Amino acid sequence: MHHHNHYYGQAHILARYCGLNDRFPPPIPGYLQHGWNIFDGWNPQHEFYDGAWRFVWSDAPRRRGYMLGRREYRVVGAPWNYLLQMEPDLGVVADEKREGTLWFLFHGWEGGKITGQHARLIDEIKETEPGPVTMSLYYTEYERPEIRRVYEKAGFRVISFGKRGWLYEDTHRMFLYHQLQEFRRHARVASNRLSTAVFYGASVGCVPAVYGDPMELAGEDQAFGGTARIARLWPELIGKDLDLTAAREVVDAELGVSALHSPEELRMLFDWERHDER
Amino acid sequence: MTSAESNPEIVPGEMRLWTDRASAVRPAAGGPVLAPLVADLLKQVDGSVLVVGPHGDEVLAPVAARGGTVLVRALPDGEEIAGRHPGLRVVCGDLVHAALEPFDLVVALDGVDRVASNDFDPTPWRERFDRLVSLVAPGGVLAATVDNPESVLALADGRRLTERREFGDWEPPHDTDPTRPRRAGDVVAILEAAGLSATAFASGWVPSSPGVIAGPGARDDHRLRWALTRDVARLTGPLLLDPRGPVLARLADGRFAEVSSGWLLVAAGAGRSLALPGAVAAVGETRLELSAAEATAAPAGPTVADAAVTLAQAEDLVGLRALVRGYLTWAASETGPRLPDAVQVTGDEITRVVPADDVLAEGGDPAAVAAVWLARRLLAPDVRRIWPAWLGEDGVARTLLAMAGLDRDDAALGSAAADPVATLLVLDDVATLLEVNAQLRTELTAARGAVFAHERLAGNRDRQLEQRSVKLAQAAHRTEVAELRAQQAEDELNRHRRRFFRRALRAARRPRSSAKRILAKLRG
Repeated sequence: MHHHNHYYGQAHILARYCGLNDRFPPPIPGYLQHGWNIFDGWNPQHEFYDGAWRFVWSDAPRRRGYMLGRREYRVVGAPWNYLLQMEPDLGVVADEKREGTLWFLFHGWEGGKITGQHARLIDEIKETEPGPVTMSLYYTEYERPEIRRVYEKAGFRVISFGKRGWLYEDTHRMFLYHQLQEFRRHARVASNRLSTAVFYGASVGCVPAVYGDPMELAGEDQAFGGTARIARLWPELIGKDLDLTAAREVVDAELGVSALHSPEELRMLFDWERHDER
Repeated sequence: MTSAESNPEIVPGEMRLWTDRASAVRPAAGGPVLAPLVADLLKQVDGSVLVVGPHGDEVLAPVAARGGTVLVRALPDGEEIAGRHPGLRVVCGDLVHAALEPFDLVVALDGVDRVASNDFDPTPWRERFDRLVSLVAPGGVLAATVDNPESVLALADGRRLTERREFGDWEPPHDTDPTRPRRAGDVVAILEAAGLSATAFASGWVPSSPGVIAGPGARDDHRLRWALTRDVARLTGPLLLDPRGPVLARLADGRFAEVSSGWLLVAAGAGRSLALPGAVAAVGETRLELSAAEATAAPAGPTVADAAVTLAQAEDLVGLRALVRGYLTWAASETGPRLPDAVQVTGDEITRVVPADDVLAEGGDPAAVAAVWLARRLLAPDVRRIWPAWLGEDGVARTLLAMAGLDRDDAALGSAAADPVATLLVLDDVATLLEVNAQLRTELTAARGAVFAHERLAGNRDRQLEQRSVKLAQAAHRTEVAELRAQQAEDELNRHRRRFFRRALRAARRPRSSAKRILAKLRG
């Protein structure tokens, strides 16, 4: 199994959903989309072994992958949806008690850092957000004091959900569980780029917003169109004051809510049935 | 939605890492029939122009000269077009999601399949077509093609399903779209409901780049048949059957549109009338335009090729001999096109009906080339073979020439066979290959029979030789015996003579004793 499948503990969530060991999840025979993106769920240079199946969140990634000549896609929906099925009450607070904005700074990754005008972004966040702001930094930014302190000095609560893991090491198995808890106590979710967290937050009732300096990621591949393409294709989710009905439709579509598989179906699909006990 | 500063302008759904214009499955729309037709419409329609979908430069160049807009879904295509045709405003994205104002002339010769982006859920054909029609301004003109899902070509297509759909294989198969029209009349009705008066042309073979378009009522005009017969060479990919037979049969009785690969719809808004041809055919350097009256008129007679095939099928050798005599005699004396499918026979009269460019090689022999072509046609897999298998192409050609009283040696026939003009297009479709297979089996059976016959003949001759050898040996023996006997008798005589002479000689040498001995014998 590709180690990306372990990112954010997604393979663990699906194993638990299927009634299997979620500390050491069985291998998924292919590639599990680990985050939302504007193409087929993977970056342009991603390598796949021949004949690999690709388990994606929604139908659009499947169609775009076909365009590249890639085949063997199955739309299974985001593991996030399966987590919501299993944890309907985790961190839930009454609607009137939800407050503040969980704000996700567009983050770098292990292979590239972001650069941008953080001070200007902070001003815009303060002008826009009606309540307290929790700034979520990925560990790549969280561990850069020059970035973390800027947001701390702005009076924001600065948190990090930890590492997604790399080559099966340091995988924060409860990454998405903690994120879910935070979403359920915030009223809004925002980011300077449309990203996975915005979809997650909106799916559990946070009012979404996408605004501010989108920043630059070192080595970012523009082959798929970048932020301009995002604005063209998902205008319902770009801005500070969105049409919530339209936004929620897009969120559900991108997360593949309608593609939820039953545990039995998923076990069959992933070849997770115990062959030696039959 | 669009950015007026950039060219191409990008609208939602632009497809990156993709090209339709360079597709290996379906060429960009245009070609020698449609491009001049668009150029002609540009002369007849003033105002703004929109070209929707991937089109070739031969279509875009005259639009660019006048100024117009092009919508393509593939960004690399848009960038290439903007670079090659500065006079065009290029828009990249999905047809349904592009914010465009109506135009006076809308051209969509590739249809409305390769205008949908995979960024959006697949849309039914009808939704895309309606969007196209909505872009025609009041009183405007639309020229669009629509594939015929029930065409002979669709049935004959031997490619795997996935190979056929390279240009949109993320979509459900077209067969599952109930809104897709199955008759030309369906499309005409849609256009008429939108206030457009439409003419439907049947097209063959490549719907977006046909070599032939034929308007309503067009029937078995020899020029259209000639073009369809040759233009089939542009088809790529394996075929299950040669589509020419069933399509030409429908063309013969005016039902070409039922089985044609697709349709070209030319529609005009209220108050506008267009001057349109009855049919157009273009193959190679030859382009023919027929009026509606010409396209719908019945021919005075069959082509020589068709007439010869009919006679051969009926094994009417008397009729075939008369036809071939008249035709080859005519061909030998004519200059210009003279191949059997370019000339018509009416009674005894041979007339040229297709101004085809069949220029012979330098020093070419027109009668020999015509005979080789006709031989190839009569030996084609779809014709009943009326000559023995051992009579190959050159043998049949020589036979045909002999029917006309013409004699050609091997060198002349070899040159004629090598002349490109004499090439007959035989497809490698599955049905033809099965027929060829059957022919080869027949030939193999005949060859095995011939081998058997030759072996039996050789065996008989061996036995005959044996017998003759024995007879010869016996005769020789008898002669030898006779000779020996004769020799023996002569030897005996000679011995006797030698004895006599020796005695005589001895007696002569001793006369006294010899005389005594003689006297003693006499006395006693």
